[in-house]
Amino acid sequence: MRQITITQFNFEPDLKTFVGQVMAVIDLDADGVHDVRGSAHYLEIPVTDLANGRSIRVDDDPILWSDLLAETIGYGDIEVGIEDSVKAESGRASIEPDTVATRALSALVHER
Amino acid sequence: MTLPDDRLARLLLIQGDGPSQLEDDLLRLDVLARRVPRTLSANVVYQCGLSDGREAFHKPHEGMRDHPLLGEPVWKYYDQLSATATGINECAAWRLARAMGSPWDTLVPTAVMRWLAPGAGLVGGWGPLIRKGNGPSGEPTPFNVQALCSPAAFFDSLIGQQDRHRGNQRYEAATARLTLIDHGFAFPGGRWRFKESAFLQQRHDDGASALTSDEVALLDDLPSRSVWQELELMLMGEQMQALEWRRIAMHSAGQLLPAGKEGLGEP
Repeated sequence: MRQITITQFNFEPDLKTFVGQVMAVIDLDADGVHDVRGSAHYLEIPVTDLANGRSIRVDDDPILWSDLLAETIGYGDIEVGIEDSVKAESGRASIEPDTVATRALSALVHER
Repeated sequence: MTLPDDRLARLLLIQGDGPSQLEDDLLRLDVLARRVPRTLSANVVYQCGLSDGREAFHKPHEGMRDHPLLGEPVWKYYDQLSATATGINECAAWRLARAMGSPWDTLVPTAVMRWLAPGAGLVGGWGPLIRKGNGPSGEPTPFNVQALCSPAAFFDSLIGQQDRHRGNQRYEAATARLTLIDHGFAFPGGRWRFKESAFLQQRHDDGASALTSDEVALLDDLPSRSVWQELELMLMGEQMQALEWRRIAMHSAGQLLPAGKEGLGEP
């Protein structure tokens, strides 16, 4: 199982720290999407395979779609994490789109 | 053919002449923090914190690397002349939208060309600094609201947007504000290099391909506005020719251009 985590970052509460807000967690494999928690609209975004110009929807090829998702929607504050070999879980609590999974990260570069 | 460096210099002179308050802020405010993305991408985009607390994105030209699938920078895929050209396109899209007035001057994010110093782990140099659009990307709502979709489709048709997939927009539900992002691959040179925009396709699908009288009047008036001369100074000759061709084709037909890159025909 592959798990896709889409996270949006904001400088909060000030420029010294930032937090990642998990927008969606998607579990999928070659057979299709098994679970979505958070904003399901990300599944509606087709991605473009720049190698041949083809537009690919998640149902066409879930693995390839997820491979290309980061380049498609990754933009400064949005990152797409991919973790393979995740065991499918049942009964997991769903996340709300606006629920913040906060964690201070160390990659922030302070200019001054 | 105008050299890219010359066009960059012209843009710097133009953007310094009578900037709006937000343009001035983006040009002048200290950038106190840049967030380094944890995931590698072919194009580096830094999330920047400005000294007044607002956020913006810096897209350094030097950060446009070879795409792993293409083996070359993505700007080549989109028939751009250089990485610098993509930064100029971002700023040109904003300046055009600003000159077009409401609603485009809020749909398109303010962008200026700015140099930021390189640092440890940071790519610096020249690149557009772009205001952050609020809300998440890829929300379907803007495609279903005519007041948002129609002007977005009109703008994408005019600028020949090549990269407006459904994720290249931000929508904040609380304010119903749409922000169109990523104009680096707009203004293609040549009539045939035009790829689909999700907003353009949606407006066609909605049976609203015909331009409104206000849109026709705007197309008629654009060449008389100073922004048209600005764009002539900033864009490559063939980019400007293609922009003029799209304007004439839309105006004469009273229709949006078809979505997709084929079958545009002669103006």
